[in-house]
Amino acid sequence: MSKYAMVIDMDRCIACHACEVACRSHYDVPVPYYRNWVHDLRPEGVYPDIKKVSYVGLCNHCDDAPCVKACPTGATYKRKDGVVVVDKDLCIGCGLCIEACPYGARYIDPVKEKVDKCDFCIDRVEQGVEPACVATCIASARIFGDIDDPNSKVSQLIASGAQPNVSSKVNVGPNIYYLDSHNHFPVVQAAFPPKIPNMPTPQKMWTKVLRPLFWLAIGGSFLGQLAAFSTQLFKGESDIKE
Amino acid sequence: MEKKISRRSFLKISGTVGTGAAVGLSTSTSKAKAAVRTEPKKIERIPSVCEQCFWRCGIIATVEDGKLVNIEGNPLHPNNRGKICARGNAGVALVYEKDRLKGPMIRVGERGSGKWREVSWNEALDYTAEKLKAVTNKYGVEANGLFAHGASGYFATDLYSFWGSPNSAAPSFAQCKGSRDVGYELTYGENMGSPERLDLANAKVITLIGSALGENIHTGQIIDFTDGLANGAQVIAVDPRFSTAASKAKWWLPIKPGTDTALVLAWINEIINKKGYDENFVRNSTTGFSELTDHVKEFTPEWAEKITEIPANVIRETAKAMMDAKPAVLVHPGRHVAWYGNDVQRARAVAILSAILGIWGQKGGYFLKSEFPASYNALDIPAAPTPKRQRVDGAGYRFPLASTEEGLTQELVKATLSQKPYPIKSWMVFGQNIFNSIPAKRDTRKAIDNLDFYVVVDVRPTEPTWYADVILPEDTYLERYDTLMTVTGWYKQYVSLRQPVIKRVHNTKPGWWIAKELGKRLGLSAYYPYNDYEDVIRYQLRDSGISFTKLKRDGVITFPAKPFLEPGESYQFKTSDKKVHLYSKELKDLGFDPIPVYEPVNDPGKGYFRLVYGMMPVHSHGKTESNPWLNTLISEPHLWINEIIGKSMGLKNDEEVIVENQDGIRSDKIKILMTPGMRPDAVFLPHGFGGNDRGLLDYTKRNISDNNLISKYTVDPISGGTGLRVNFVRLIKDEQPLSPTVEVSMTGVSAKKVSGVQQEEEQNKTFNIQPKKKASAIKEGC
Repeated sequence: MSKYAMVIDMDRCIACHACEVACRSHYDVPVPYYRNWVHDLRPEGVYPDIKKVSYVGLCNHCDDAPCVKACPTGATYKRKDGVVVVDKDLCIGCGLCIEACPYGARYIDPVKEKVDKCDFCIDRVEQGVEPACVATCIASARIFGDIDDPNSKVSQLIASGAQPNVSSKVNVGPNIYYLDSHNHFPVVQAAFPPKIPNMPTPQKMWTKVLRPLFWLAIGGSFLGQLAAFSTQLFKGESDIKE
Repeated sequence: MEKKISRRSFLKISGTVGTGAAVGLSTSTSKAKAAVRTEPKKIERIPSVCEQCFWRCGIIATVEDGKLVNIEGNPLHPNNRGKICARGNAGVALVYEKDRLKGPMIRVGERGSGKWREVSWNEALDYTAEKLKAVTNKYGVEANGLFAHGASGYFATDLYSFWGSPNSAAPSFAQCKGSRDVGYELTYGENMGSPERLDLANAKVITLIGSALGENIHTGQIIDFTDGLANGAQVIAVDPRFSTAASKAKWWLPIKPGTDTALVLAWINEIINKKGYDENFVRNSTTGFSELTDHVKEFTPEWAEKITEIPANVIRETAKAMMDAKPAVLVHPGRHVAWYGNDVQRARAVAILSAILGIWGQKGGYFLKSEFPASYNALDIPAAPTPKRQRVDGAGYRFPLASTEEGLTQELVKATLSQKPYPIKSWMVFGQNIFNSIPAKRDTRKAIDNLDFYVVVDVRPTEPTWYADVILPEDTYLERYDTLMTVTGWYKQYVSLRQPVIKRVHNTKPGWWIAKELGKRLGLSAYYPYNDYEDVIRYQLRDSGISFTKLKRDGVITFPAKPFLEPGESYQFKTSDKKVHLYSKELKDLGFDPIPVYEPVNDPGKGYFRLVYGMMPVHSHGKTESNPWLNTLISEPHLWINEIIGKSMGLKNDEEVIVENQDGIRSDKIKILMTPGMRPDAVFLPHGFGGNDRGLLDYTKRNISDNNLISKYTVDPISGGTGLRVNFVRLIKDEQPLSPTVEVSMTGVSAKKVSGVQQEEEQNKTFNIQPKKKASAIKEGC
């Protein structure tokens, strides 16, 4: 069985943002949302030791994914190959998974009213094509592969020291690793530490899931009544019977 | 069948399902799937060539039912090898950008009032031709001036030469790489071309003088640069700003702006003194080495330290790195070199340094140009007439070595302003933002008032479009053919084809068609014996051995190159005596310095900073800021300023200030970025944003363009290239000019070393501390 992961080689990345736009293009991601990102930090430090660092991120496809636990409908689930996906048919757009994610990797698509996020381009991967962000990466700074295969490049890079963005407080088994020999990664970790997952409470379940569903049912029933009434009004009772 | 469903269509279906979900999930889902089975999408993948910048990467467009849905890199294309940058990916959004020019228009209100009426192409072209003929009848054909840029700009340049006007100019020379090309041609007899002939992947030392590779994205060059880094190349980043390249560098040399030639002369001095040059190459392939040795004798690292503020020991250390790595050492010739108006001499200095390191035709050095294995048929058209009057821009006479192909934009503006040496009464602006590329924008604006007629051909409206009498909207690069693109000076040779990947979205036309139709109306039918440019390309290739069908299918055809010299092989340089000219008799005869000398630069003066500028990786020139996919990444520029200086003026990050230059020209509010990675005597403003694109653009409403503040410029007497980094600015807050209360010196520089994690944390704690003492205390910290 495969287990997919990605290594970001920070030494190679030149923060060109090509990955971000390729992803937007492939998935019609509406502005200003994103499924992957490059956050540029201000060059900081004490002269002459200055660091100009960018945080390259995407869904971490965590082993112990809080988003999976937070999802009330089972729409978000982890596949056997490690990829965390959202079944759009089951997603009700409640957004609980967004609050649970330590990496800010999810958003609600305002057009589709569904949660969306990186799925490692699994449709491409299953056809033997690299994820779109990897394929376009000018600097070859994104390396995708199977960490169950010890000979894969990702396995080798992890063995050589690539590290996930975890902290003493939050470690949910992320599968994005960062390779860095200029001490840039600690800057990323300081600026973008994984957030403590904000898991659903009974209160939130009521306000975000049950109450909207309740009103949807009421509204649906009302609309149904209204539709029947207006049809009746225009077409007459006999047509309805037919 | 199911497998053919693309991700995109799948998502669209799920979206539809979503809205109807309240009724019943399972049934609608199966309905949607059934719908897809009966109506599969027609998916095509068509190769072409990008033009979001001028690197010209190979792309493959995915078109679904006639709609462009995706662009990716063409793996066969040597320029980009399957990769494509942010801008290239965002070509999709350019095509469907809502602010595009969508049909021809003729002005109805006052010039600049923004009132036009939509007209047919026939009416627009008839009207344009009539106006151009009126100018010609009254003032002569030479009174028609042209500003053209981009691949389709060639069609306009050709049109004007067929017509007999010598007055066409492109910013690619005087505002970009002109002085570099002249400097290299004087030294080697040939220039570095585009793509630049640099073996970055195999270089052991890469010296970048103001070349911000990483922020300046030319895909193939970045692929090679990052491969070079991965192969262990050491980078020497010479830049007043801590660029992305500096962040990858072993040495960041925050040089005092304008003093680069002094640094290069000191490097040459050190390399000659230590006998670190390539003796064989110097003996066999160069002339003027003894003159050079005498010339640089006084330019010691200690001499240069006083000028450049780079310590002598760092100059020695970096010189040693280059000597040790030779011939696998690249001193990047730069691309936009229009800095100080003595740029040919700086380019010469870089060329000379590279020459004595013996990198010509060496692995990790400069590639050779190869012999292209095919030749194209030439169209059977009359020769262009010799213009009756000499060009107004002085290219070839006042500026003896300026390119007469590309011309000098700023001189054409000046001549239009003064109407001397003879009247210029019409302008055609073809694919160029003349307000954002040519300095002294006020002059450009004023010159328009002297015109009887002003026509703009472009894809999207920019500030200068606003004043146009006629707007002729061009197809995007994804909707048109352009000329064949042939490259011989690289690790591979190739010819690639730009072809339409979709049917045009609006009532626009390709550049070749616009030029041809105008040509016919100007009585130049003999020059346009075709109706379709595809036929021209077919004819050009017919006897070349290159299959048009294959080129159309693959987008590019490559040929092996010979980029390196064989061991012991000597090279016949294309100079008069086949040698590299370390000493240039040609320059001497023209009355210029035969070997570069350093010309001192002015200091900004109290409260002022030198304005430097450069690229952001997601934008090209002034042509991408309104692209919604790119605008969302970087929507406005931040003005970089030294952190200690900024804090001493009471500024905070992201705070807005007004920037005012020495001539009192002001910007609108610009956000501040404070960093230790900026020299204290300069500020940096990213290029490619802003102007007063009133009404026409959604995105830029503020006057935050660097070019607006470049009201002053110098002109290189050799090439005619402009010097744009000669403007000084101060910051204004609450109508009060700000003045730093501390002095910061950068002479404490030492080699940038990788520090430990622990140290990093400490630095983060300490870098916010505001300096309490003057200079001496800060020397340590900054």
